[in-house]
Amino acid sequence: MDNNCLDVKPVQLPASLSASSAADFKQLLVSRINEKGNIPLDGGKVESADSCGMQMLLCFIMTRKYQNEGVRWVDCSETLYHAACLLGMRRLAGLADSLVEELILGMD
Amino acid sequence: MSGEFDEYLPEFLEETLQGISDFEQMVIDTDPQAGAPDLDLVNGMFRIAHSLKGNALMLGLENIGNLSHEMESLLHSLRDKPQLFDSGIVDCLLHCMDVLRSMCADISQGVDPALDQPDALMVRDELANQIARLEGKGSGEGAHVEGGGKENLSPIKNLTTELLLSDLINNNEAQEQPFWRISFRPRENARFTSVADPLKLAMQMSRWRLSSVQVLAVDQLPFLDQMNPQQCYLGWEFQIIDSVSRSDLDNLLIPWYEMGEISIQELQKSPAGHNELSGDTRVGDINAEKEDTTSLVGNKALASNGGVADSVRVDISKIDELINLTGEVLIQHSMLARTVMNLPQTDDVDLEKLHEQIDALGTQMREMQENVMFVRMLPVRHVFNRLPRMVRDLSRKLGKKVKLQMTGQETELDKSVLEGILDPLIHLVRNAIDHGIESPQKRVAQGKPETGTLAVSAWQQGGRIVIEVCDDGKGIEQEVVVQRARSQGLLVGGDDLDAEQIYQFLFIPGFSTAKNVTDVSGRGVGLDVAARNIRGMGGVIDVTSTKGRGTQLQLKLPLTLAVTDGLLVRIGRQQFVVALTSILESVHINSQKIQSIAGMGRVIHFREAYIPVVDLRRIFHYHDAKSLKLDREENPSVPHLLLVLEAENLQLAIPVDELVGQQQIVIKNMELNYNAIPGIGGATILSDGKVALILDVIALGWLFRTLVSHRAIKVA
Repeated sequence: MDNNCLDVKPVQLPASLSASSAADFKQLLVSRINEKGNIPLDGGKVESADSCGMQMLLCFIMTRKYQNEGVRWVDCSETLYHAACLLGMRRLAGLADSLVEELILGMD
Repeated sequence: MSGEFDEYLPEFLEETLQGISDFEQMVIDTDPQAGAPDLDLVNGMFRIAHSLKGNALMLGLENIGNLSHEMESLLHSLRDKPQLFDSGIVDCLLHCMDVLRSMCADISQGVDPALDQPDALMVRDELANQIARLEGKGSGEGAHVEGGGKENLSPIKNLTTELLLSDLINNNEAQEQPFWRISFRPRENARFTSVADPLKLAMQMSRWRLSSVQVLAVDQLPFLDQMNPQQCYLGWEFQIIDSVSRSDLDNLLIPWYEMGEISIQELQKSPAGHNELSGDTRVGDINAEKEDTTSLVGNKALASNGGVADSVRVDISKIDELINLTGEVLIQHSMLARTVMNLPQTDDVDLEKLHEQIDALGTQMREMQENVMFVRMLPVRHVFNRLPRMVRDLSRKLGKKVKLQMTGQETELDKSVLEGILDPLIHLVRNAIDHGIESPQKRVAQGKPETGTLAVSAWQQGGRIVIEVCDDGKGIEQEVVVQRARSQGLLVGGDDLDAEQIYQFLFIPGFSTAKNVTDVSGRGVGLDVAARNIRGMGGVIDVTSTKGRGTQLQLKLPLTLAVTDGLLVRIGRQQFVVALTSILESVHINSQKIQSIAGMGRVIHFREAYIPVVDLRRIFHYHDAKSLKLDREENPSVPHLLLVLEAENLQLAIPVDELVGQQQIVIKNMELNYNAIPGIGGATILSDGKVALILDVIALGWLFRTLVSHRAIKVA
């Protein structure tokens, strides 16, 4: 548990992580990319996703890694978890081995 | 509805309905009487449920996703306790399929399917009870999850999710060696589109068990601020544990060759697929890692890999458009041929050569049209697949034992004909089970096997397709039919009716021989509808039956409804087309030989039979001063030209003024372009640009049969 991020407002992932809303999503992520520490990600409201949205999310996480910064998950919807698993991004995205574990770990 | 993903919905519905159909078949293939189910079947069902769930959740269809999720949970528990498998689980899973179908119907009508509908709630209760039973937790009464979404899933169900995902993707790494490694690398600058979405590929892949999914080329990702959101920078690698066939893989991957490079490696010999590999693609030794790197883009994929099945998914409307366009081109060709025919011979033009070239062009275009027509052909199994479930449910409901035998499922026919036969076939099968096949007790008492047999077959016969429904039940009791026809006032006298005439009563609206009206049949609604639909497509129903031994119904249908060979005839100034298959012959007959018989109108005595003469001008209420007068007083010496037609064993003669010529015609729908007209099956455009109406001879015969023939029977 990363205490220095407890007060940081989580990045609220939109309900739809898809190509049609990619520009807005990118803007949201770019606005938070340079923050220090482990930025909390809240994916609990994600209802739908496609590869475009998932690639963008991964890009955000990898850019953070390159900057020696990180992310941590505070919530993850089943849809988001499922998409990450199907696209082989789960570990890279820092999601736990199971959704249950993710939900437990994610509880602050 | 999600709105954003609407463009995916048709494909989702198609895949989901196919999945439901496959799932249903697997459920029916399990036999609760035989104890534990075949685990391959359970795994197969699990994979379908998983795909349904994944596809639904990706599109934001949580209700379908959640129900599929609960089905997964049941199947997961069943894998652990197969010995507890029973008919209750079969019923529950079939009930799930009903609810899912209903949800798909809602989606197709733009309605968000609800999980709080009574049927959905009931099935979720059933699922919860069955899961609780399998997990040894009592009845689980009332354990269904209210609402939808992951927040409503119980911890147990979340745990199940964990197990299922790990089962599919994570834990298999250490347990089973994969058979296939597929890598997919989108080409440089590949962009995401609604179709080219690798997540869809991943979902399609997840129908099989995957040992791993790995994202490739992560180092190709730019920094976030430099990223083009629509460009695909990543690649993927999938390892498949299931021993799927190479052709199944190829079928799935074909659409993705357009987006990038695909490499297929067989990591160990696949029992399901090795026979399909050919030449260099065959892998010899088990565990030999021989790469079949196809490195394919577009059509190269197909050219360089002999084992690839060449198929693409095409919207049916595009095919229809192509067929329509081909028809228009043929019409234009006819018009061109006619123009050239009328050209005067000059020194500048070699008319003979021009004719030859136009003839050759016509031959090629007809060939093209035939080939395009074949694209619409679908195997009849798409309809037959509906029957096992129906037979199972109905026979249980009626307390009968019925074995369904299906043959000829791969026989192909036009999609529109296929759609048209679904309801009639269902009526006939229901009828056979309800009225034909006896109860087990009666069958045993008659020395028959306890289980009745219902055989449904399809085969092609010339330019027609025959679909046969045959049962070994009690057969049609002719005397009961005759008695009922008399009591309903449909028959007076009629002691000399043959079997064929007697069976025709079964197709009259409201006619039924059932003693009791049930919700299955007995109201006389069904067979008449079936017959009307079949006739509407230019088909016929033949009945043969032997008392005590069974009934055989044959549907004879055209292979296609879009093109037919016809004879163009002129009646006055109006031209009609008559399908060649309906024409017996044309005859010249003097007026004196056209007689009037009470109850039958005008007839000719032809080949030892009286054939009614049907004047189309009267039937269609058009008057044409130039048309030939039938009335013998007005024109006694001129021989009349009559076309003798046959429709469902009834012969008709229609007077015509001229036989213009035979030609292949493209049928245009009347209802879409104008209005439905009884007796007219469609229209076509002639080479001179005029419209000719196509006679629906069967409908004419039916009109005549109902209006006149029954009256004749009464008079007789």
